Amino acid sequence: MDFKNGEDHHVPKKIFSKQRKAIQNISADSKISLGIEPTKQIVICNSGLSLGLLEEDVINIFSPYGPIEAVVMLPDKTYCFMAFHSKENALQAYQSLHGKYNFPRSENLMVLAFADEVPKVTNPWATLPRDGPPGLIVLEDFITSDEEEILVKLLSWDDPIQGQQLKQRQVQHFGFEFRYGSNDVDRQKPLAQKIPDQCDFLQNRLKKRGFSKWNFYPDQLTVNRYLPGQGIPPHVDTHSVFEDPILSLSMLSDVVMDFKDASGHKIPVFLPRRSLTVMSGESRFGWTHGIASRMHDVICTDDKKGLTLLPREERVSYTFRLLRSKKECFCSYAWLCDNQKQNLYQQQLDAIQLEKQYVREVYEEISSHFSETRHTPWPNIVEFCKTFKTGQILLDVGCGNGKYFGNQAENVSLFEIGLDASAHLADMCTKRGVEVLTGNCLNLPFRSSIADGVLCIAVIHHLATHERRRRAVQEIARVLCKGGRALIYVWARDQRLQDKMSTYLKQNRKNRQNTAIQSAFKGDKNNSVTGSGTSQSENNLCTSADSKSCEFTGSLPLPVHVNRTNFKHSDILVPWKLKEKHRQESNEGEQQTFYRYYHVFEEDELTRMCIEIPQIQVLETKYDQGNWSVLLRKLP
Amino acid sequence: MKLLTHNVLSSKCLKGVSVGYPLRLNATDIKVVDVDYNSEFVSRMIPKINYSALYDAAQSIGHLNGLPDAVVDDFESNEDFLKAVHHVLLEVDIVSGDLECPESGRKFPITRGIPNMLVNENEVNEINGSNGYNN
Ligand SMILES: [Zn+2]
Repeated sequence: MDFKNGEDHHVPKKIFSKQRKAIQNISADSKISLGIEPTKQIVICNSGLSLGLLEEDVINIFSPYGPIEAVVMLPDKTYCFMAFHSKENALQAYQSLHGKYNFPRSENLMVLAFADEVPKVTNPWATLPRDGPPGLIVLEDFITSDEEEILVKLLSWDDPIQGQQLKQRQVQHFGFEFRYGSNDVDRQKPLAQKIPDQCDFLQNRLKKRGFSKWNFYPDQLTVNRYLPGQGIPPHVDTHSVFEDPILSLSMLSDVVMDFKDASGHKIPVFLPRRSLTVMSGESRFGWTHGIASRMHDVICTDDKKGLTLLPREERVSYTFRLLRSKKECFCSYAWLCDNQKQNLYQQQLDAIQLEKQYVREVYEEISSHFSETRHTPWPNIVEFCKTFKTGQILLDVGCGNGKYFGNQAENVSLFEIGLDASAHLADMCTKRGVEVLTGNCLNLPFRSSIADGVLCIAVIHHLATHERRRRAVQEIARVLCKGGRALIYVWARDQRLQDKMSTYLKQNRKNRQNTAIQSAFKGDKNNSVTGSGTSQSENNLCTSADSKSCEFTGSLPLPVHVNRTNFKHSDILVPWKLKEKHRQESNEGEQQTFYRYYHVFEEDELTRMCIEIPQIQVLETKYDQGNWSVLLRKLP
Repeated sequence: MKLLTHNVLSSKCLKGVSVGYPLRLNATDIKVVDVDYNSEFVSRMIPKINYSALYDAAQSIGHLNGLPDAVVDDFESNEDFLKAVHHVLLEVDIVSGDLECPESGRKFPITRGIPNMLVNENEVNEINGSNGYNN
C-alpha cells in the first residue's frame, strides 16, 4: 500500500506539527527510532500512564484493527507503545485513529507515529505460571458448576447475615469477623455463623488434588462479591493473624489478580472461574495481592501470542483462612509483616527513650565532673588530627568538652567544629574558645561533602539499635568530602583482647591512693577512651576483674555493668557515681549514681557496619586499649 | 558562631525539607574578635565555601566590611580580598540570634555563641507502626 502522511487531508494541520515535535522528543527520550514510514509498532505520542491512559484502554482502542502483540506502558511517561502482528493492521489503525480519535474527557486528538521497535519490558504474561510468585498455586476446575451454584446461592446479598458494603465490594464473614480498621479478628468473639457445611468437601478435594500434606481446617471464611469495575487494593493478609496457606475459590467469572514483591515487581495472575488459589509460603507472606478496579482485564489470547481484553463480570470469592493460635509471625518478609513492624516501631521508640534517659540526660547531669576526667587526648587520635593540612575542615562529632581541638600539626591552621548533644559540654567548649554547636549525630546539621576529616570518639556506642548506629556512620560519610577521612572509636565488649588488658581493666587493680577522688568514682570514666594517661582517679571499690561483671536490678531496663570488669552483655548500663561538689542539688550524705547506656561492640561489628555503607572504604580496623577503632575514607 | 560555620550548616535533615540551605541568619548580638590572619588558610577555604551564601549572610547582619559580591579572579594572591574574606569568615562572631530554615521556617536559636541544631525525632523521620495494608 502506498501511503504518504501528507496526502491524508482529513488530519488537521496542527496535528502534523505536533507529530513532528513528538517524533523528535520521544526518539530522544526513548532512544527508539520513530517516523511516519509504516511498521507494525505504533507509538501513541500524546497519552500514557502519566496521563491516565491504561493498558486496557490501548487494547480497547486498537484491537478492532487486528490482533495485538504487545502493549508497553512506561511509568511516568506521556507516551506509550503498542505492536500489532502485522504492518497492515498498524497502518489501518494509524489511518483511522491518527488525528481523528478523540481521547475521552479531553479535547485532544490522538497523535501517532510508527516505531522501529517497542521498548524492552518483559511481558509478564510470557513468564507465567512457572515464574509466578513462589508458593502460589492455581488449581483449575477445582469445583463443578453444580457446586459453584450451591455455594453462590448460599448467600443473600440483599440481606447479608454478617456482611458489609465496603467502598469497592461486598463482604460477608463466617467463623470470625475480620475487622477492617485493625486488620485482625477478635479471637474472643467467634461468630454464630460458622463456615457453611457445604464447604466441607474442601479437605477431600485438596487431598485428591495432591495436597494431602496440608491438614488445613480453616476456621474463618470471608466471602467477597465484586461487580464489574470493583476491586480490592493491594494488601497482604495480616501475617500475625492467619496461618499459611490461604485458600480462595473464584466463582461466577474469571479475574486477574496482581501480585507485587518488595522490589515492586508485578506479576498478573489469571484466576479462572471455579479455580482454587492456594497462597502459601513466599506468595502468602512476601507479596501483596490485589484486584484493580476496572471494567476489563488484560489477558493473554488463547494462542498465547497476543493480548486481549476480558470484560469483568460479577465475581464471588470464598477465602478460607485459619487463625493462628498466637498473634505472632517470624517470617523473613519484615516489610509486609505487621508483627515485625510493630516490633521495629517499638524498638525505635524504646531506643529514643533509652538514649534520652540514659545518655543525654545523664551527660547533662555529670558534664562538669565528666569533663574533669577528660584531659589527655589519645595518641592514635592525636596522630590522626596531625594528618590534616592548613585550610581543611575537621568535625568532631560528639566532641564532649572539646579536648581533641587544637591537636593539629605544628604551623597547620585547621577549621575545627565540634558538635555535642549536651548543652553543658558545648558551653565548656565555647569557654575554651572553640567553635561548637549542639546537635545529634543521627542528623548532622551540615551540608554534604564539607568535611576533610571527622572524629567520632566514644559516641556511637551510646546509640541503642544497630540501625541507629549505622545511620550515624552514614551521616559521617555524607558530610565527608570525597577522599575525606573519619576516625571512629567505640567501646569493645572484649576488654582483654590479644592477652593485653585494656587500660580500663588495669585501672581496677591499680592505685588505691587518691582517696579524695575515690569516693566520687565507683567507676567508669570511660578512660579507655580518655586515654591511658588519666589513671590517677581510680575506682577500687568494686570486685576484681574475674568475678561477676554485671547485675540486674529491678528498676533498670538493662543489666548494670560492674566497673573495671569484662563485659558480659552487649547492651548495658554503666554506673557513674557523681562527685559531691558537682552535684546539681545537694542531697547530703548520699552519693548519686547515674547510669549511662552503652552498646559494646564485638570484634568486626564496627567494621561490618561501615562496610554496609556504599560510599566509604575501611582503611584500617584496630583494637586500641579496649576500644574498636576504624579509619574510613570516603571514595573519591 | 562564626560565619564559616554558618556556611556549612544546613537544615536538610528536617522532614519535608529538600535543600535547607543557606539558613537565614538573624543576629541580635555580634562580637568582632581578632583572629590571626593566615593567607594560605583563607585561599584554601575559598573553593570549599559557598561564597554567595557567605556574602548574603554578612550583608544581612551588616558586616560586609568591603567584601566583594563575588570571588575575584586572582584570589590566591589578592591580599586585600583574602583579608576581607578572613574577617568575615572568622572574626565576626554571632553571640545570639537564630538560624532559620529557608523552607520550613523552623528556627534554631543561637545562645552564648552556640547554635542549637538539636531536632526532635518526630521532626526528622516518619515513625510509623502500622503496615499500611488492609485486607
Ligand atoms: Zn510476618
